[in-house]
Amino acid sequence: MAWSRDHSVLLSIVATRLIAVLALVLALALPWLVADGFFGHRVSIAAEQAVWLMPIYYVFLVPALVALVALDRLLAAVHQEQVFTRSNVLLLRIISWCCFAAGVVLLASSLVSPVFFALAVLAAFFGVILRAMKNLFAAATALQEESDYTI
Amino acid sequence: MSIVIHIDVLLAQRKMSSGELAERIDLTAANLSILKNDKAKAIRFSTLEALCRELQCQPGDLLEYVADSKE
Repeated sequence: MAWSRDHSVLLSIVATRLIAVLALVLALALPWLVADGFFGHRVSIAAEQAVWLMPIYYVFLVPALVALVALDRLLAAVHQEQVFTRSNVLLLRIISWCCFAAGVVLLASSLVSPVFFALAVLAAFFGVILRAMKNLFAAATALQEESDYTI
Repeated sequence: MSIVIHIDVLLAQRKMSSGELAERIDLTAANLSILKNDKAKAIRFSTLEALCRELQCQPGDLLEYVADSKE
């Protein structure tokens, strides 16, 4: 079976939903993982830092899930061959802001561990890239509308 | 919208239906509706030519510039 754009979009949708499910499963399992000292024994995180993992993760989960839902809707629209539309521009804008929000959460979390600072920079970087993509999509949408309404 | 298109007036004067005009100029009913409702962003010379030919008019009869109230 030849690989096509359609299959690629479907794979992206499956991956997005899988990540969302894993994120939720981890949210449910986190209290047990922290209580059992899972992180302390296996990942070598100090006990006091492990305690902070739960609130950090739950706050981080909010923009992450919003971004994943927006990404799922964006990919579903692309699957239906509705690419350069205003709603997709809005979805990209939402995802971009979610990256910035996640960056803020991670920046605040860098007080617990410096690793989070690097992740915050990464999230902000993704936010900027997505913002640029949003601007490109907005310009392409204007061109598409111009073309569609040229009779 | 500063440019108003008077297809409805000309169709009434020529006693022609929208569907008939769309068929004659090889345009879909949806696209003719976009033109009639002033939603079009641009009009091709070929479309204008076909409209003028079938409605037996000049481009000036079809299009009118109306100054916006802000101007």
